[in-house]
Amino acid sequence: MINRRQFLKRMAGAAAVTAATALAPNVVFRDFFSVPTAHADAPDGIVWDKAPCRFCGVGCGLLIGVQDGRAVAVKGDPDSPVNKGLACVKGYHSILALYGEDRLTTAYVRRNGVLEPVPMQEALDLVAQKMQETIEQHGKDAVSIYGSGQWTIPDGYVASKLFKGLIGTNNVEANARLCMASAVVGFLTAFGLDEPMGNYADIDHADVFVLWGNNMAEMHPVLFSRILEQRRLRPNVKIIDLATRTTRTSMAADKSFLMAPQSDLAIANAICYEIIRNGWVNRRFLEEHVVFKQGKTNIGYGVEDHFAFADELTDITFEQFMEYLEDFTPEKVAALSGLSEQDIRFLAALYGDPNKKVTSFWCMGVNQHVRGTWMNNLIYNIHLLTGKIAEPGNSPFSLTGQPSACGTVREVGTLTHVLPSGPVVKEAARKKAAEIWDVPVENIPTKPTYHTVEMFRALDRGDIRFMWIQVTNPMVTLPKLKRYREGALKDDRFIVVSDVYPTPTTDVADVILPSAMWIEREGLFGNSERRTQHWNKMIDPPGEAMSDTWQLIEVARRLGYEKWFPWSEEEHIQAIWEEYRQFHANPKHNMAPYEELKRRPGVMWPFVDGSETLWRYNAKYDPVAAEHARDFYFYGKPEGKAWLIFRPYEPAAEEPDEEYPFWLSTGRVLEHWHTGSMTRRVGVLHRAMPHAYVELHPTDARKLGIRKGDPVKVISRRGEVVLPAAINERGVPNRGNVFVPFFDESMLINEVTLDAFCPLSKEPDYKKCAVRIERVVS
Amino acid sequence: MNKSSSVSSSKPSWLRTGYRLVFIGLIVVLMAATVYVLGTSWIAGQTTATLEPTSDAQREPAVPEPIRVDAGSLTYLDLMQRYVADAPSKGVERTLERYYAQRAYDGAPPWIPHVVSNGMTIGDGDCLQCHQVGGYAPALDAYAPVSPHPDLPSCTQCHVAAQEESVFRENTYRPADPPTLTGGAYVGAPPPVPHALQMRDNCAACHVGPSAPSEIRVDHLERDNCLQCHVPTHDNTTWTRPQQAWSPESEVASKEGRP
Repeated sequence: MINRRQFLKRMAGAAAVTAATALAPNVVFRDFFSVPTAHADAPDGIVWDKAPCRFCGVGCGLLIGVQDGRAVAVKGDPDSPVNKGLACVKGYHSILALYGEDRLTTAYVRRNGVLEPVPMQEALDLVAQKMQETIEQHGKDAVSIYGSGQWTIPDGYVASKLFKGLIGTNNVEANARLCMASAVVGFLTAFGLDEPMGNYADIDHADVFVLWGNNMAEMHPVLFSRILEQRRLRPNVKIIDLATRTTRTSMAADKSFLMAPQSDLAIANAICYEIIRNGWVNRRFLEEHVVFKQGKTNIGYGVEDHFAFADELTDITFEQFMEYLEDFTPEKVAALSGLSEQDIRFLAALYGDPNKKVTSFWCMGVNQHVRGTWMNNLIYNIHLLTGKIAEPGNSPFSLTGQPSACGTVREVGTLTHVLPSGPVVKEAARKKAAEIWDVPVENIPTKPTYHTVEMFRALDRGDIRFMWIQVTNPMVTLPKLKRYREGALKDDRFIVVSDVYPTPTTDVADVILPSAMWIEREGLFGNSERRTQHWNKMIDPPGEAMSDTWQLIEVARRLGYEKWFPWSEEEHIQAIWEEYRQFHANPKHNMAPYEELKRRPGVMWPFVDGSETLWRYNAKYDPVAAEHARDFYFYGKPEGKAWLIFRPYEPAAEEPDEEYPFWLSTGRVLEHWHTGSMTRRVGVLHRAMPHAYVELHPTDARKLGIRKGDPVKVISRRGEVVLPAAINERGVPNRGNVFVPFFDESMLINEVTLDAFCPLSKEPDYKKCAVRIERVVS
Repeated sequence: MNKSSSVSSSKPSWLRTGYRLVFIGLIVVLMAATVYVLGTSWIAGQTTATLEPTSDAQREPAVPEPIRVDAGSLTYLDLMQRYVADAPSKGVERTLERYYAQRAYDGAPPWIPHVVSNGMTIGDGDCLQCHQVGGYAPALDAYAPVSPHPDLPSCTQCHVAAQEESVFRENTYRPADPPTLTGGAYVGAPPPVPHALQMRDNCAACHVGPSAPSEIRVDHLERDNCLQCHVPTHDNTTWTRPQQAWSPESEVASKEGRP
C-alpha cells in the first residue's frame, strides 16, 4: 500500500537516481519506474508502448507505435494473454480514430441557441457555476452524471467520489446499464459476487462452445479466432450457435439453431428438464454446492415512469424444481421456440455429457432482454446442474461490449445503487467509502435514485435539471429516443457533454468539453475476464482537450473540494489507483499494485500474494476457496453455496401483431463500434460499412416486393426510420424478423425501439419490439 | 465313430493332445497380445491433448505461446513454385507502391480491393481458395497475393472490402514512411529484413511467385531458411567494444560484482 508520503519519497528517490546517474555514468541504478524503452535509435524512429484496445470488452493488448509525437502504427501485443498478438480490423485501425479532422479541440458554450467556442477554463467555470446554482435551487438530486463503460477507471472513480461522497447524490449512472446490468444482477443473484469465475483460457480447454445469441465472429472477433484455432488443433471441438439470425458465426459454427425471439428462456429450461430426465445431473455437486430458489413471476416491463420492482427469492426443493420444469418438456418448447425436439435434446446432451467440457458465451442477446437477469440465471442453472462450472473449460462466460464496463462501471460501481465498497443501502459499504474518502458518512445518501432510463425520464419530467454526459452518445443509444431527446432539449435543462467528436449528443449540449482520448492520457481499463490493463500517455491531446478525469477534478476544485482532489497532473492516475485499491484490499477482490500494472500486459484480480486468481471459487486456483473446501466454495453466498434459481418463460414486452407483424432486433457490425463516432472517421472502416441497413429474410422481402438496396420504412408505435434493404448480405434474419445496426446517426433505429427493461437489472431490451415494414415508393 | 478314430490315429504327431494344448496356449497368448496392443492404441487414440493451465497461465508475467512461431518459413512453397516466373506471364504486375496503397500503414492488414460476393463468409471456405497458394485470377487480371498466415481462417476479422468510395469525415492521419530497401553490407551481401515479422512469418507469401511485388521478389528458392542470411534489424545502435578486454579474470570479477 502506498500513501501520498511514500509516493513523494519515491519521486524524490527517482530524482536522486537521475542525478546520480549523471554524476556516475558507469554505475547502473535500479529503475524506479519502468518507463517504456524509448529507442531513439530504433531504425524507423518508432517507439512502441502497450495499451489495451480502445474498443470492445475483449480488451486486446495492443502495441502502439509513436513517431514524432503522432501515433503511426499498431501491432497486436504478442505478450498479451488475451489476444496473443492478433487484433481485429478496428484495433489495427484504432489510431486513425484519433485523427478525424473534426476532432473537438476547444470548449463550446451555447449562447442564444448557438454553440460558440470559449477557452476551456471559462467553460469549466460555467459548468461548476451551473452545478452550484442547480443544487441551490432544486436540491442535490437535480444534478446528475451519466458516464460509460468507456470511462477509464480513474474517470469513474473520481465521478463517484465527487457525486456520491462530496455532493451527496446517487445520481451516477453509466451506459453500461444498457449493456451489462443483467449480467451483473445475474452474477449477484446466483453467486453473490460480480464477474466471471473463469478467464479466456477456458477457450483452450473447452470441447463445446455454446453461443447464446452471440455473433462472436463480428462482435468479439479475436476471441472467436481463438475458438477457431482450438477447433483446428483439436478436431473434437464443436461450436454451437443459437440465434434469431444467421450470421458469420452461424456459418462458421458446427451447428446453428434459429429460435424465436424470447424463447431462449424456454429452451434453457428445456435443457435443464432433459438433463434431469436423462440422469446427467451431477448429484454430488448439487448436494454440496447448490441451493434451489425461486423468484417472483409476472414481473412487468417498466415501460411506465416510476416503475418499481423488488425481487424476493425463496427456497424450493429439488423436487419442486423438477415439478416446475414439467412445463418445459422438449415437446412444449419445440412449439414455442421453432427448434425441433431433437435439437433441444441434442443441446441437452452436449451439456449433459460428463466427458465434455462446455463453455457458454453470451453478450447482448441475453443481457438486452426484458428477462435478461432470468436468462443469465438460467444459463448458470444448466452449468450448476451438471457441475460444469469454475474449472478450466467448464465455464458460463458473460462477455462485455465496452473496454471498461467491468473495470469502471462494475468494479468501481458507477451506478446509482452501488459504491466501490458495495450497495449504498448497506451501512458497512457507506462507512467504508466515507472512511477512505475522508468524508462524513452522512454525506452518502442511503437510497438509490434513478437508473439510466429513469434518469432520462427524470430529466424529461424536470426532476433532474443538470446532466453531465461523458464518453457516451445517449442521443443515439437510448431506446424510444424521441422522448429523451426532447426532454434534454427542454428549457431549464443544462446538459454538459465531454466528447472527442461532434455527435447527436453534443447537438443537445449547452457546454461541450473537448476530451483527451485513450493514449492521449494515462489510464486503466478492466476487461471481461477481470483483467486490469494500464497504459501510459503516449501523445499529446489536440488543442485544449483534457482527460475526463482531469475535467472532473477541475470542476470539483471549483466547487470547493480541492482537499479531496489534491493530486498533481503528473501523478494523479497513480494516486487515484492507490486510493481506489483500498476498497478492494481483500483476497476476494484484491487489485494489483500500480507498478505491476505498468509492467505487465494486464493483471487479473483477485491478485493474491503476487499471483492472479485464474478460476474463482475453485480451491485448486483460488486461495479463498481453498480455505473452506477441497473442491468448490462459492464464497459470495452464505455457506459457500451457489443459488440455482428457477425462472420461467414470460413473453416479451411487445410482440408482433397484425398491425406490426415483424420482430425488430438491433445490434452492431464488425466495422463499427457502438455509435460509430470514432470508427466512422476511419476511412477503411467507413468505406467497408458506410451506412446502416435493414436486413430482411429473402422470402419476406419478396412478399413485400422489396429488392436489395430499396429504401424501406421501419415503423413502430414510437416512430419510424428509412433505411436501405439488405438481403443475403451480412446476415439473414429468421422469417418474420428484421435486423438493423444502430451505429448510423443519420438512420436512428432507436427512434423505433421500445424502452421496456428487465425489472431486476433495469437494462432495456433492444432486441425485441414489433414493427411494420413498408417499401418507400419514390 | 470308426471313421473318426481312424482319422485321429492318422493325425500327424504335432496335432496330438499334448501339442494341442501348447498350440491353444500360444493362440490364447497371441490373441491376448492382439487385444492388448489394439486396446492400448485405441485408448491412446481416445485421449485428447490436455494442458495444465496453471503452469501455462501463471507464469510471470503471463507470456502466452504466440499463435505463430515459425518465422522465416516458406509455407506452400512447393505449390507456389508451380507459378514461379521471373515476372508474371500475364496480368498487372504488383509493385511495392500498390502494396502500400492497400493498407493504412506498414504492417496494417490490407483491405480487399475486389467485391466479396458472400457477406457472411469468414474466409476458410472462400478467401483461401485463391489466397492460400495464389494463382492467376482472370476476373481481376492479376495473380492473387498469398496470405502469410493461412492458419488464421477468420479473414474478414481484419480484411474488409470497400462497399463504396466515400468518407464520413476527413482524417488527418499520416503513416510513417515504409521501410526503405537497404542493400547488404557490400554488393551481393544478404540484405537485412527491414520490417517486423509478426503475422508475416511466411516469407514466401510476399517474396516468392508472380504475385510478389517486383522489387522484393527473390530468385533463390532452393534455400529454405530465409533467416539464416537475412536478419531483422532491431535498432541502429553501433556495438562498441567494452573498455576492458575480456579475460577469464575479468569475467570472474564481473560475476562477483567487482570492477
